[in-house]
Amino acid sequence: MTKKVLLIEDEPHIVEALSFLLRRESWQVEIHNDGIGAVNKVSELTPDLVILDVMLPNIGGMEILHDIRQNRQTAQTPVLMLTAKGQQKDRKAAEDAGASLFMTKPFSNQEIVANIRELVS
Amino acid sequence: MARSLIGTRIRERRRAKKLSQTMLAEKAGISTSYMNLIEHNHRSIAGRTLLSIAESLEVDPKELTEGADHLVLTQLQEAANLISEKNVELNRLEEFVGRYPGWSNLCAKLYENIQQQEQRLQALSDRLGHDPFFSEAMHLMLSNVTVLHSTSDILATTDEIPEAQFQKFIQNMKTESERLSDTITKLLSYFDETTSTETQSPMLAPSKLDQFWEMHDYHLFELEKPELNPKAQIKKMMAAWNFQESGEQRLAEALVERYAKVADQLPLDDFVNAAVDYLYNPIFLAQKFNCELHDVFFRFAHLPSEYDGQTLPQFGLIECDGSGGVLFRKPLKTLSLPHKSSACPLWPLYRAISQPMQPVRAIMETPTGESFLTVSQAVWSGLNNYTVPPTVKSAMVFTSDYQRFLPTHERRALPTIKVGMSCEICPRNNCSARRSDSILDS
Repeated sequence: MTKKVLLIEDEPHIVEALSFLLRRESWQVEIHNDGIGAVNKVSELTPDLVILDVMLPNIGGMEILHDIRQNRQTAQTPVLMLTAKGQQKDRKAAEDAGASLFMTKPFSNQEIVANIRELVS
Repeated sequence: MARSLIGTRIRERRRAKKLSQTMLAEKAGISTSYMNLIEHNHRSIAGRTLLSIAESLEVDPKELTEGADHLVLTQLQEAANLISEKNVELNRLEEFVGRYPGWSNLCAKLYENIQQQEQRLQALSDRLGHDPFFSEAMHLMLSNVTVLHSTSDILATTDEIPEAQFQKFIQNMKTESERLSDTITKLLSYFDETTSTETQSPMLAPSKLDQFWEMHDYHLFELEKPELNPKAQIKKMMAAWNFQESGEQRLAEALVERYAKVADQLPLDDFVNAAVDYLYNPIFLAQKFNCELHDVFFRFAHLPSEYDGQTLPQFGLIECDGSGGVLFRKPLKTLSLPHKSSACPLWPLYRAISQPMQPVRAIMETPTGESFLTVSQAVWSGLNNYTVPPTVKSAMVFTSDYQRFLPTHERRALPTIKVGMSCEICPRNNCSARRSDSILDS
């Protein structure tokens, strides 16, 4: 069965590259590019994985993650956090908020695909 | 400073003038044996004898009395405490200062210099870590590099890419390369500009008053205990710091006196316990201690980082007048504050000015994603005067540690205000409060 990945990221060129990588793996890709409405999108699509950027317009990724974890319907959805900040405290904050995995930009295509494979399996 | 040093100083200055003890005694009109006792600190002197010896040595009597070396002694004591060198003969410090005034002055100056360099380094480090422009530029560059890295890898490792997609990727790489180049150029130019004005920059050349607060970590433990005689402690602090500019001296004195008054009114132990009980709500605390909200703000800003085994939330504070001129500032590592002029007009600090006495509570979010709980209030000053219009003084206390004490339902009920530092380095382009263009990439 095709796995569904929701990509919440506002940078269009990153979205384009990541979408290509995910579709190449035959995964279904859904895209949302704003903090507003992101949690509703997760509830509505019930994806197998959410790739969530930390720095989003209007509502930050950390708050979205918090809301995903608070919502009974989405609480168990794996979330891969993407951030340009790689500091230990950011990693810790993401882990505390319930991130399944935390990756920093720039990421390796091979590594992100391998991690996604593991998370959706 | 011990009186015993006077004899040692007399001996050193006599030797420097190549006078024998007998010659100096004769000049000063006293016996050689008495001079010997004085020089060995077995007799204290003052009045006429002191004046005649000083005159014979052609020095100001003050140079022989205790005041001259006070600052040097304090600085050397501080240096010994700070560096914790076990082999320093602290019990012979007075003797060292008395016998070798030149060397001790040099050591004190070197210590002062090290302190200043450390402050400067700290300011530079803070700047790099929390400068919104630098942070935004790094974020942009990482995004650019992510696209370039990921897209080029796709192009290099994928055999068949549809032509339209291929062309799109090429175009994306071209756009991101241009953006990267543009961001780097702006970043270099930004650092060039800031470096050229560095000597004038208050950020990198903090005033002595800033240094005073930073060195004490904004907490004056000497003034927390009434039995230590706060007035005497203030006098000692002012003498040790020796503020050169009279305006700065007055300001420092006023602030330290205010600290002592607030410490007396809101004793640390009671205040910390009450703050924990009242979830750091300044309005409740002001009611409990029957004081002004500004006093609670001031107390928050001067709490120690740890108390009675518990880590306390750290609060910053900014106070300004009605024109936005900064009166007091305590920045946090996560939020720098302007030194003199106003910051982003959206800060609740300025909103409070439009509704004096009404406290304003809001979450303030910076472009780098840091969020702060803020409480602000403006108060009237100079009322009851027919001729001079009243003025307002606004204060805003803020903390990023609020998750520790602010209940989630209260947090959610608070408005979040997206602010910047100043327009020039603010990436929020569609801001209604913008006064000038941002130098950041749109």
